[in-house]
Amino acid sequence: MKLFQRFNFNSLWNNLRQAFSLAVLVLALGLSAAPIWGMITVESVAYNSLLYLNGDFSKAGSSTATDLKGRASQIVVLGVNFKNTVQSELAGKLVTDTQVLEEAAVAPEVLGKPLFHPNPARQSENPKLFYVLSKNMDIEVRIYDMMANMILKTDFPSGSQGGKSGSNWLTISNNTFDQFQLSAGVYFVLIMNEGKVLGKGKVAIIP
Amino acid sequence: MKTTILSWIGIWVLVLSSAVSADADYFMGTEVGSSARGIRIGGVEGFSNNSDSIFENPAALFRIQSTSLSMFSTTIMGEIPYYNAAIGMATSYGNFALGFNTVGVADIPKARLMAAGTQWEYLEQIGSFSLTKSVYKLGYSIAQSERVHLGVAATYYSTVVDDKSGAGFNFDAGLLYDADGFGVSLLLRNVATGLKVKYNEGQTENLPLETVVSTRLAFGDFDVMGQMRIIGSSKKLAKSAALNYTPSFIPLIRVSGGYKEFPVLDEIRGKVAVGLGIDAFGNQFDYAYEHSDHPEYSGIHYFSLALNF
Repeated sequence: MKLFQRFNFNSLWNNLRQAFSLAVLVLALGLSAAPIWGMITVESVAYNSLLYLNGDFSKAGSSTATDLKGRASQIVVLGVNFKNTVQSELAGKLVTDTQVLEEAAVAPEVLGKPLFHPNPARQSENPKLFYVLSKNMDIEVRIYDMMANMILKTDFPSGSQGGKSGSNWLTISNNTFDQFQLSAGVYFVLIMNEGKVLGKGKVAIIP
Repeated sequence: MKTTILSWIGIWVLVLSSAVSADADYFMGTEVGSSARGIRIGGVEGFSNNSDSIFENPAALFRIQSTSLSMFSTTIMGEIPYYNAAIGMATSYGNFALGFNTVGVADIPKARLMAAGTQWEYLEQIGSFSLTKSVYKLGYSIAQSERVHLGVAATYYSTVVDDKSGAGFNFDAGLLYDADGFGVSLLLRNVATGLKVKYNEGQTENLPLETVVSTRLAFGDFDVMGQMRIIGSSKKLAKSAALNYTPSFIPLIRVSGGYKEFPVLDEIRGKVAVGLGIDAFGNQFDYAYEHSDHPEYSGIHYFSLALNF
């Protein structure tokens, strides 16, 4: 009876929950067609924030990670909405990190490098800018030409497309510049929050 | 003399009335400027003593006494190197010059779409490429009289971006009246409006016609300069003004400041530049500073060197 009382049902329940979470996570990542290496144990994940993994997801907002085999992962977890305990086994070493990661504690960051697709692109192809934010925040996007002239400045409120936690997609089209045809050249994008540059991207426009 | 001026006016009217296609205008790297001296006087063209006149009014090449070598460089936004160089020679057949200008951007990321069609779509970098724009110029200047000089320049434009490339050529025509304390410069840049830059996939870009009228007036130690430009397919008017001070007690130092208007998309903007130069035995070292609204590079520094042998 004493032995029975010592048996920790909560621990069993937690283990089951973790196993279930792991199965769901691996399935989700597998469906995203991105390779995943090794085992990841995560408890309590806001799945809607799961884009791809590219970071040491034992810490929110981080953007440098290796997979279990020491290779740069093509899978990125946006740590921004991790709520409770994060346990992961990285590079063969068990890492246990328990922290409450409220959004206010997450540093405003652009995770990874802002990228354009296609690149180079014709303006008529509506090239898309992709970047990942660590949290909801007000974002100002500026575009400069090759002579450092600012040709576009647009604000995106926190939580909207362009300023939301996770992935953001913005399109450059003929309408962006009121039908003005851009000269062939490279255009530089700055992603800014409260006057601070969080990320930079480049797109080459061809005629 | 009268025939020359009438011919010029005829060409001018013909060119300005010509139709321009709906293609985009070619990015003119030379818009940055051809020397620190030129930048700090607001881009007023036609009054350089050096071979960099090849990038401005070729008629001004007449000022080369023997051989002139000009070099200019800057880095824009910390990652766009910009260089130009020119060499000019005076001969008994007139003055000749060669010029080269290049501007480029490296490490432009190329990406592919991953997990397309799912809610987890994202971009992954798969490589990078570069862009290089080059301009080659050959210019010639001949005296029409002691004070009137004519100049022409042929220009070859080249762009290489990733595996795509484009090239085209055009011509500049210049006229210069130069007297003591007073000068007028007239320039038609890219005068053959039908000539375009053609890319290897068939697309084209206009080589924007520019009509540039500049004046210089000396008042003691000061030079006052002004300029009007009609630019590109939009035919926008951009004005420049500058003041240059050469203290008579230290004549090898010049201090200048200028205001320049320039086209950005479909509008005209203005900027101010200041700087100084040292002129020693006909050799010039020049510096100019321009403010930028870029949050990380609030100023752009320009340096140029001109050697005259």
